[in-house]
Amino acid sequence: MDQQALWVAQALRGDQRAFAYLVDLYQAAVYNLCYRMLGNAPEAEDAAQETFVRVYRHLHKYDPQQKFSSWILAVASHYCIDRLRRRRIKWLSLDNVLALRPAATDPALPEETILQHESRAEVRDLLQSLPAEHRLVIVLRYWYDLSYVEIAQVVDSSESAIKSRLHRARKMLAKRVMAQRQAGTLSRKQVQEERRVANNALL
Amino acid sequence: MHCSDISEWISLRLDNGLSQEQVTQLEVHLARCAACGEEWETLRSLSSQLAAEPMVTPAADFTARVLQRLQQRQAHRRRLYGSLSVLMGSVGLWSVAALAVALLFIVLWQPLIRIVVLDVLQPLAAKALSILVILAQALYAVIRELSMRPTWLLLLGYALLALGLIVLWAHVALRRREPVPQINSRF
Repeated sequence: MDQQALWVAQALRGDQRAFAYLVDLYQAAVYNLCYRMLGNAPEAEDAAQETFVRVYRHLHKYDPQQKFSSWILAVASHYCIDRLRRRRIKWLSLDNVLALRPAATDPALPEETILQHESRAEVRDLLQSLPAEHRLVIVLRYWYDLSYVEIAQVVDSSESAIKSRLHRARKMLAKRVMAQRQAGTLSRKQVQEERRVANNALL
Repeated sequence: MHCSDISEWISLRLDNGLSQEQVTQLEVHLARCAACGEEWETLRSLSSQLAAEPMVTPAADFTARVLQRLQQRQAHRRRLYGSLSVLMGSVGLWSVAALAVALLFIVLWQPLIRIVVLDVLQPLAAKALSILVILAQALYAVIRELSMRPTWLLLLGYALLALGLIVLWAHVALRRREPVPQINSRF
């Protein structure tokens, strides 16, 4: 039995120290998934914690034939999709926001140059523009480098469904980027036009 | 080759899911079709932009926060379960006591005893008794009604249920006196 399987077995018997090793091992994977899905650090922190609480509570449902990483990503994915659905009905209550304060700073931000920051914000906005299910496959594809089959396992779907969902997601992203680009050129043209008018007025 | 098929192929190409032959076919189309070419260029650069995005990590001591939340949840569940069983247990206890009193009352409710009881206690407890009498008569009527049918079994079942609730209550009440386990308990 490898070390991870041992920890799973120990955690299953109620050993929280073994469970802590599992949290250490998967915290980045889970947190990043939550962050990419939800789009902000406080909610990602809360969702990641909640994911691990669920992992601990439902550990007996984990099938050892499956990859543990896939299972844990599946738990996180389900939780995030659920949360996004609920978000449509009700926005975070003030209590929740206050409770989350300690982790409200984004640890990735301080060292970033402005340029990187802009590109990050652009990526985040693009991701958030997608429907949740499409966002999920993009995240699993690009951040976790999963194959179609592996993504299908995580989201409990078929390989062909994942293939077409990824295609649709990319199509939506491309449309949005091209529309933005067009809007950008238009506004630049507008600026030039205004400048020309102003110059003419001066002459 | 239709442009909608090409769009699908572009996605597959980004995942290295096309055969060499298909790649060639795709390139031929992209060179000729401006719209598909633009989609391809957009998605290719977007794809590399996404692939370059780092993993975001949580703030320090994340594991400690998870364990803390886990223990809070467990304590909460324990409290909920504990108070529920205490409530159920005490309801069971009280109803058994009431039942015992009622049965005793019925057994003793003979005319002679009634006169003695009333003569001794009437000055003090006439009002209280009259209320009790009404209650007891009501209970008596109910029980007599029950006894005419084979529902004594029902009564027995109820007594057993109450007993079960008391056992549950005793179980929780006794366990609560032990120190609450910090780590190795799981619900």
